[in-house]
Amino acid sequence: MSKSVYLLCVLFALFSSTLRAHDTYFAFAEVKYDDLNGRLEATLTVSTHDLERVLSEKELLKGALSSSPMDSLLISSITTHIQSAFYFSTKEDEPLTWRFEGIENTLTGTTNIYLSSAVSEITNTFMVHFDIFMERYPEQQNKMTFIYHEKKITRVFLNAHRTDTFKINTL
Amino acid sequence: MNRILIFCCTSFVFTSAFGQSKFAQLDIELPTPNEYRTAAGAPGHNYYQQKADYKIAITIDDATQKLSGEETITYTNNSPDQLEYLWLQLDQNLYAQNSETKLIEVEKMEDFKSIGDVKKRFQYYDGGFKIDAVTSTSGQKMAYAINKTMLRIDLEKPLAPNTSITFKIKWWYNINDRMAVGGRSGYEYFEKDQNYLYTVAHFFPRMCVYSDVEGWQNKQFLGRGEFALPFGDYEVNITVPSDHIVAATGELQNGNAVLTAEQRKRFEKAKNADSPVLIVTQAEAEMKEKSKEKALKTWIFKATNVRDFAFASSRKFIWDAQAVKVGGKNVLAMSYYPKEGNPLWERYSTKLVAHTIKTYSKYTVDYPYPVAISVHSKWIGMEYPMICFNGGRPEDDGTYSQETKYGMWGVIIHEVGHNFFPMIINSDERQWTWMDEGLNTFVQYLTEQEWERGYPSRRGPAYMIADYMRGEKKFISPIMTNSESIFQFGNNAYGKPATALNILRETIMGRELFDYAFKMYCERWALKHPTPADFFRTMEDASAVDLDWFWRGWFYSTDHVDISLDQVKWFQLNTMNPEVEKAVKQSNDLAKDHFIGDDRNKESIEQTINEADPNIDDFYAKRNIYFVDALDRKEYAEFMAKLSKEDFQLLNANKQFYELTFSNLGGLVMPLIIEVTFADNSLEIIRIPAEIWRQYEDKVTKVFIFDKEVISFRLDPNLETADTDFSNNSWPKRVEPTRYELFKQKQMNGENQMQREKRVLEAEKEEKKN
Repeated sequence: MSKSVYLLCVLFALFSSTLRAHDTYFAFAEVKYDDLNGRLEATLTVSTHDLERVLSEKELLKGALSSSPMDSLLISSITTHIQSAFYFSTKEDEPLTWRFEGIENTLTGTTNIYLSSAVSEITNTFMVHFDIFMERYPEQQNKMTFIYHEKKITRVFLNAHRTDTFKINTL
Repeated sequence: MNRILIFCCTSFVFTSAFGQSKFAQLDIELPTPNEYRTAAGAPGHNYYQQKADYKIAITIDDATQKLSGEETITYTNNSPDQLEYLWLQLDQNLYAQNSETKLIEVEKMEDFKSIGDVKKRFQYYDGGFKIDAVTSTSGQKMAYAINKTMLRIDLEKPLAPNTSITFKIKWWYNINDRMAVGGRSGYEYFEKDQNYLYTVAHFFPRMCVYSDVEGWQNKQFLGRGEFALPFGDYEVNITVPSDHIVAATGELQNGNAVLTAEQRKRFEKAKNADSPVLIVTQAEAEMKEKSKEKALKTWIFKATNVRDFAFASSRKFIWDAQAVKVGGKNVLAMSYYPKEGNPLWERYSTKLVAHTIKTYSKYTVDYPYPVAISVHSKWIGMEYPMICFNGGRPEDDGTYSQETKYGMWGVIIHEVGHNFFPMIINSDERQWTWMDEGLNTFVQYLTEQEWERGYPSRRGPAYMIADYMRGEKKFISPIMTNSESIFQFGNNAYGKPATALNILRETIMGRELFDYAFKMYCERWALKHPTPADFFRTMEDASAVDLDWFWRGWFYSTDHVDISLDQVKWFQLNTMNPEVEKAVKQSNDLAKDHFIGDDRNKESIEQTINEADPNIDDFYAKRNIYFVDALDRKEYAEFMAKLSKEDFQLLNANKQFYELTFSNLGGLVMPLIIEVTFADNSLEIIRIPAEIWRQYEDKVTKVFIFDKEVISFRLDPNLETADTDFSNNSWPKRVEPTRYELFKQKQMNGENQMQREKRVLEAEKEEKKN
């Protein structure tokens, strides 16, 4: 039996995932492979309400995200959370590291988080893991559109389907 | 550019296989019309609905957060059927220990990343109904059975058509800590002043709907598919600590007993006020926060012809009200909120309630109830007849961001709007979430746009649904999916139907036809139980627009919109005049690109053999193909002799012909909306109905004739079709920047503008000092 370590930290507050009314439960990612600069450029769009709820339950945020100074602690917390829940790897078990580029709250209730990642070696196959918020919201469903040379592929990620693999040459 | 010989009018060229599944009429998808529901989408001549009247008395124990109650239900069977048993809903059993809701959640080890995640898995909350007794009015025990969230009462003799039965139920349960356990109903505890704020709903056993469509609607409550409830009259006594203020469905019956003289005076003033009047001020509420009365008071409310009852209670409540005139009578718009809701709530909540009631009444039916209430409730939004619980809390320092403000506005408009869908137009939420959420989100959008020009609505505009609709289909549900089985609940049941209705209104039907048909649906089904077929049929019947293809594509399929402009071919008419055509050919030939070797050879080769030897060039080499000869002129004269004056003018009108090829990549057929930009920079929008795809669903071509040359074509220039890929919409091709690339052009910082304003004031003070 694999003894993977899942208990990462003990900072988290006690909350239940039992139902609440009128949540949105979605995240979209638009990721482009820029082969000129050898990197991925990603925009992760999440429901601000969901993100605030998750961060506040972890005592990383008090009040609205749009009222909170984007200090290094908050940026680091957001990036760490994303890194564990949305990652690419070109080889198994070697997720690319996201660099936080910026964050933008929209008036329509979504938050865009901008990320980039150096890709040292481009291979034909990408493995993507995208289960952000699924541990908090069982009904969370995520979607990613990958763009390469102006061609696009869109994949859906669900509670029971959190990882997907696709080949660039099939785009 | 090509010169064409034969003049042709606008024409289609079909390049795909024959097929018409997308335009097939809805047949087996809809139930057969009958005496209860007509083929026109209206209630039939024998339409019936049941009635459930309640007399309820409940008490909240503020020390233990326990609710206990007793109710007397009079159930009237208006159906033509005999009922051997009655079904009631025990929604609170969602929190019972044997609830299946958590068992059916799919989990993975990744969900247990922290000790908090593990703890919550073992969290214990006993929140189910404890049924003490089910008795007749004379006190005799009645036989009953509980199946999780449903309670069946077995009648000694069947309830005959057009008869009533009255019985009593006594129960209690522990109110859930909404901030910890979650839920639509519950309490919030304010640690700073040690007070509770209760927002309480589905707190009593409620009758199920019995109808011509499903018999008893007794599908178990799993948590997502909400409620199906019959209409009835309510009289509810709510006993709470005497310093509490209570807001509830219906009208207060005993103001003299529960309100002070000053509060009653302010309340009377509010009934005719056109802006909010404070009935309980913030200072008064803050005083009561400290008192914590042990004595109890009973508030009595009555509500007529409603499908449910909910209430809120707290000593923390500030309370304001104003009148809003609807259909010639005054409705009282009210808000109840703790100081934590200010300054947002005192400024906006009641005005939003009034605006929502008025605007929805315009697009649907006149609001029939006497009050409409918005109660502050952190994090959530949830709706009940005449009352709803809404989030939107400012920061502790009294500032708030624009995002918080718009979030609060949106949730209040949405939840107050639910008074119309499903509280008045009473669809079955347990079965079809979209019938209330989707229609409500659509009218919410209209209401937001009338509140503030350019309001940043979260859902409604077509382009906002594109992210959800694109891509692989196996994890997208059709809108016509049962509430519990929907993938991407919010986008599917709120966003997509709201978008679809917006597209119908703006693009397919036009505002006038749509508004008439939509209002007709609302009027036909106000205070009744409509189904999807009633909606689909009324929209077509009242407008004379065949929308079967639209319902099929948007509501029954998972197709998305991706129409591609594949190819543009440019033609001009051949005038047949050799002087013109040969000159054009010469000009075109000269304009062709040259091979560099040819150009260099002109200089480097001083003389070729045929230039030096006149015997080399024959007839073909010496011929001037651009020369207009006598035969050319004769043939042209003969051609001209056959033309009428109109033909001649048309031939010389310099018309520009463009043949455009479109592909339907996403599968969802939609109108072709084409923006044409001409060489003189003028614009024209051409709108071609979706029926262009009616026989050839994959690819069509169309010819457009203009007086001017075109420099570009663009599909869907006004973002009205929910096209998911704009990169294939333009000729010449445009590269669409990614969101990341757009962001890189901007700089953001993380404080709200009110916080920045405070810093500005400080800086100004400092400036003055110096």
